[in-house]
Amino acid sequence: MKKKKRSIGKSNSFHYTLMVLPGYIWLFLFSIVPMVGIVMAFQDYNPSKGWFGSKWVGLKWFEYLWVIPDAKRALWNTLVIAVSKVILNIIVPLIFALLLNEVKNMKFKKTVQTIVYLPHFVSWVILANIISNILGSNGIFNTVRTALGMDKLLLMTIPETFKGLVIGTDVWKEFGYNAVIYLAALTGISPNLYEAAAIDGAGRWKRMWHITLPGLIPTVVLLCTLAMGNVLNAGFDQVFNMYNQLVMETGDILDTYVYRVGITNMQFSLATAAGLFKSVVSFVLVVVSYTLAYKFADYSIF
Amino acid sequence: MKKKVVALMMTAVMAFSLAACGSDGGSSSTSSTGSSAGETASASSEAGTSGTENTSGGGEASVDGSGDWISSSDVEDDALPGENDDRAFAKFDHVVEVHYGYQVNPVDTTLPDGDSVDDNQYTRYLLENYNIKVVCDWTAGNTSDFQQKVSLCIASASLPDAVIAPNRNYLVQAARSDLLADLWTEFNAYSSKQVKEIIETTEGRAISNATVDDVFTALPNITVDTDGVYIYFIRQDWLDQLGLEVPKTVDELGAVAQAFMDAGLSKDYAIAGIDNGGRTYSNFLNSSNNGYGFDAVYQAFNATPGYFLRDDNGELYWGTTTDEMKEALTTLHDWYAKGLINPEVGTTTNGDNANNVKNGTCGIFMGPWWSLGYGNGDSFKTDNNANWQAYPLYTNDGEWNIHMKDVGTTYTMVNKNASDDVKKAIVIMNNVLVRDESIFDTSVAIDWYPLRNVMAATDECEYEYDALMSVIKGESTVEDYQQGGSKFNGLYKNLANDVATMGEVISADYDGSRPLAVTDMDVNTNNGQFNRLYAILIGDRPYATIEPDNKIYSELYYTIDGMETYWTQVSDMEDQAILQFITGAKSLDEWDKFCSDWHAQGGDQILELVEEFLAE
Repeated sequence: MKKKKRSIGKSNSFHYTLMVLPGYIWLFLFSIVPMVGIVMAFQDYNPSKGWFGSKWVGLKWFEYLWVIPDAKRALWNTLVIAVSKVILNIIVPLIFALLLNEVKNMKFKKTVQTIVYLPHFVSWVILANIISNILGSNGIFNTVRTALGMDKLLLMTIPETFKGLVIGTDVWKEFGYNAVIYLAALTGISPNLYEAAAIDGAGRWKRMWHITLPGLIPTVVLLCTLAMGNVLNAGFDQVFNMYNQLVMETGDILDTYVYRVGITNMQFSLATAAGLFKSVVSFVLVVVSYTLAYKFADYSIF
Repeated sequence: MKKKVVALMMTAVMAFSLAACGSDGGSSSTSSTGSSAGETASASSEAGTSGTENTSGGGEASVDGSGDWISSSDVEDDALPGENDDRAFAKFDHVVEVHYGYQVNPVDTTLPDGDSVDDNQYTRYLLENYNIKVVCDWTAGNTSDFQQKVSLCIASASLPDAVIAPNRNYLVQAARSDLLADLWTEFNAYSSKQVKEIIETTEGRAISNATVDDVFTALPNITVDTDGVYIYFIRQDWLDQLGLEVPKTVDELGAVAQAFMDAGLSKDYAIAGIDNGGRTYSNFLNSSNNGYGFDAVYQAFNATPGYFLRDDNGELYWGTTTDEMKEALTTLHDWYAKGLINPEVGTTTNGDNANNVKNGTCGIFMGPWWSLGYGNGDSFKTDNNANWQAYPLYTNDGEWNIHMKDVGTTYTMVNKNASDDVKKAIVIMNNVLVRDESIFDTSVAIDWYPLRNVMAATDECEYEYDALMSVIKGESTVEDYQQGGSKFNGLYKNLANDVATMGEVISADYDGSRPLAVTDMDVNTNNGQFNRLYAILIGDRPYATIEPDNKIYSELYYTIDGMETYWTQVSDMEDQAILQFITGAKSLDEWDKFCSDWHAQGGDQILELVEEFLAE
């Protein structure tokens, strides 16, 4: 009897393994195999000689990266943009979800949720054009300003505001989508708690503070930890479609820098070095944040 | 998580496009196996024995193993336009497939419905008359995407049979990566007399540019000198309406621009500028065809940004980091601050920078000769009386400086795995374009010609200008310029046709006694020829009729070994800083800092390398 049970268990797990196999193959082909290309960062890469024939130059490219101001600037911009995005993309959807949760009219609630959910599905290629049309010299923004007797303001060309524009539009695009996970967590909080609190005389505000928020903490920690891996991902597709030479100073991020250096100027090794540097930093951050989350929130993802 | 998915999708797309690049390697090898008979034929002819294709006349002696240039005077005359012969215009006895990657214009409206990049009047012409079947493996919609594709193909060693190198850097990179075929035998043997004549007008420069490490790796393009001569264009009808003189200096141009604004003729801005990703001046690497740049203004300040120059003491210096350049930028910034220049200069995309020129609310822009006519054809469709005229911009001392370009900028690279037939086909395609462009119906943009490689005598436009004017003035006749006529010259490939069709565009009443105006011309009957003749007779008039005071050459027109990394850094910085100085995002007080940064961040090393290279 025991033996039989075990064999069933075995075949069950085999069955599941088979189901995830395509995923593993995909992961292997597209995430593991290309890692061989990392060697380019330590070589003077020449396409004809390939990964194994090119000359080894050690850390030359990393040293060079360290002295060129553009790379440092890109790193700084990446950090500022990505960290702001990470923080705001956790807080704004949280607030939104809490507010929406208090709405009692289901029709209204669903409508709002659908509307704010939509921008997530529009690609940055399209959205960046829409934004630049809105903010352009003949766009709605400046038409309104002119009608109000103000000077035209070309937001897309001002370095000081460009970071804010990138962060703001990204949060606007994603908050509806990011709120979904909170809304799901909210439904998981037992109504009994609310009832009990209400009987004990807790008002709406108290209930939110003492029941809803603590109930959401695990979700917030989870999202924070997952987001750490993205601390150096400021969003290539967004920035690439929105930036221009005038705002390069504040808008150029590591990914766009790698693109320009590597693809446009064919400095393959330098670009790989920059990309590898970014990945290593991201990796360290993920490990650290995971450890912290495990230690302090007793939360483990894996 | 979402970002990760996007990143993965991008990786997948890239991998897919690489696979697409890769697949043509395979198909080209199948096509070469399929045509092994043809290969043997040409191989045997290389060995000196006459192959089946070269049985007539003495021309096949041209297939010379020794590698010496066969001069144009030693080859037979070319077949008449539209006809075949046995050498430069030979029809293959079997279909030869040529795979290529190409840049296309996504907003082009001239291609008939149902036609495509590799199935249009030009490709069918090649297939019917020469048995050359072109297959386009991938396309890109704008220059930077195209550069990206080419660079990925080089990095992954998966070039199609042929692709155009956007500038010499790509050629060198591909050649050093050992991806390119040696084209010398085919090019030398099968180039038409006309092509050879054009090559010879460059006195060896075209061939040496296409040669990397002693191997002739690509078909060079050879463009007219005037492609690098920058002038400004202005609405003469507006000047007349306001009773203003034609501006000669920068200050006068600024005053006129202000007047256009004040009079309400230009409601948004008076001077158009570049798109996102463009440069306000052409540099040594891309030394020509910088439409909508401000080159004319810099030149009028005696500044030659982006060029390697020598001072009076023979010292090498960089043209951008000079006091003259600062003066020019001060003026441009002043214009920008006054709202004369497009406030969105450098940020508009997809050709939007030209919108106001086309819709008739912007009256001034700068560029090379073809910017009028070819470049702004829509202006005339919007307003048949938009009288755009071209003038040089002089320095305050009344001198006209011009900026001399390299022989050509782009190169047609051929994959080293391409069969001899494919190589020959590419040379023939080039011959055909040079010879037959004039008989094509160019209402379908000539850019759709596969692997279009421009080859023109360097003075073609000026020569044509003089010839056309002499016909207009009655000093010579249309027949003089036709094949067999007393003034026929095969080197100027479009002249016969241009002279013959001139009557469809230019009114018979015009006698050449005053400058040609749009009101003397018919915009609609033959719009293709209207654009061309407008470009030559009005756009190129300054260079054809006025002798420049100074012709400025760069000491070098391509990057050299060891320079690439520094160049990537300083050129990126320079492009950004210059635009910021113009818009005021960076104050000109920081000019000195910019100059010292430029030198410190790699500029000095570049100058040293170039000096060493030139000394050799």
